[in-house]
Amino acid sequence: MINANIKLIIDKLIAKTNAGQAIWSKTSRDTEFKLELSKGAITTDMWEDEHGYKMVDLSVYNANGEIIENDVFHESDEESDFTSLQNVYESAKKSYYKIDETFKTIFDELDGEKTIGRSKELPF
Amino acid sequence: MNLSDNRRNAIIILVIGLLISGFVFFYVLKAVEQTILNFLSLFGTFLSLYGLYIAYVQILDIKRINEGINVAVTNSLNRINQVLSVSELSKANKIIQEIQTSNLSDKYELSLLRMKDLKHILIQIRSNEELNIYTETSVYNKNITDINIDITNLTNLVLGKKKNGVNPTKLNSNLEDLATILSEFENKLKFGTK
Repeated sequence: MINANIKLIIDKLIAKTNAGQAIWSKTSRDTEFKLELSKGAITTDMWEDEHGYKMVDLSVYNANGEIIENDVFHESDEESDFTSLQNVYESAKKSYYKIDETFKTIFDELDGEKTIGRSKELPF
Repeated sequence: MNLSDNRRNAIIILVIGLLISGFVFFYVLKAVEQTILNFLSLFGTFLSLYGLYIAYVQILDIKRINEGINVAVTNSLNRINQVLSVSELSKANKIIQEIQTSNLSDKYELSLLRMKDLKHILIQIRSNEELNIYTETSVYNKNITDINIDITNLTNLVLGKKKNGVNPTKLNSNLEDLATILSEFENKLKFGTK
């Protein structure tokens, strides 16, 4: 069960990330994203267990880099808890990879009048 | 005012005082008053005041010498701290190289041990007053947080927990960023650059 503070952090994180005001970066794990704060950091990660079920976590680090909160949920756990953390993870992932911006650019290019793509022309 | 100035002033005051006392005894006092008793009384008074002056000057000298010693001791301690800090920073950079080599050889147990040593040094460096303006920054704190996140990920990997994949390239890249910062600190301490 997610505690009230973490629930609040999750809501604010999603709002801030979706507003494009949170800059996520990657950690030493390819699937883990990190948000640096002035006094600490927040990380979120999603991976699969040995049976192929998804797991998601959210960790809060203090200014000394120590973990002060770590919530891990399994796909089979209470749905709302897993989904809450999954939403944070998906927001972070979208923000890091700039997924929405990339799709928007693709749609704009596809809808536009201009010819898209490049031929292999010599530069002279 | 240094010691030689004090000595010179003491001699001048002694000479002037003796001249004034002699002048008063021989030219101001009447002939009947020029007795041994008055002579001793006049010169005795002067020499008592002169003694007080010498004592005062000595106290000032001792105070000045003490202050000088305190400054020298403080400077020496600062210098020793600087040397120790430079040595710690060099050690940290060496540890980073070891961790990077261990990561590339998949020796994550060794890497984890050395990462913990590195974290300890990073926290120690934060206590160095000379480096406060650099260590009390978000960049330095970010590096400490990164080290801790990497330690957590390495621990999971070494313990064989379910969440156990690490990217050695990213680990080494984080360490390289840290090595650059520590080298800058080292140069700032060695050469006093800002």
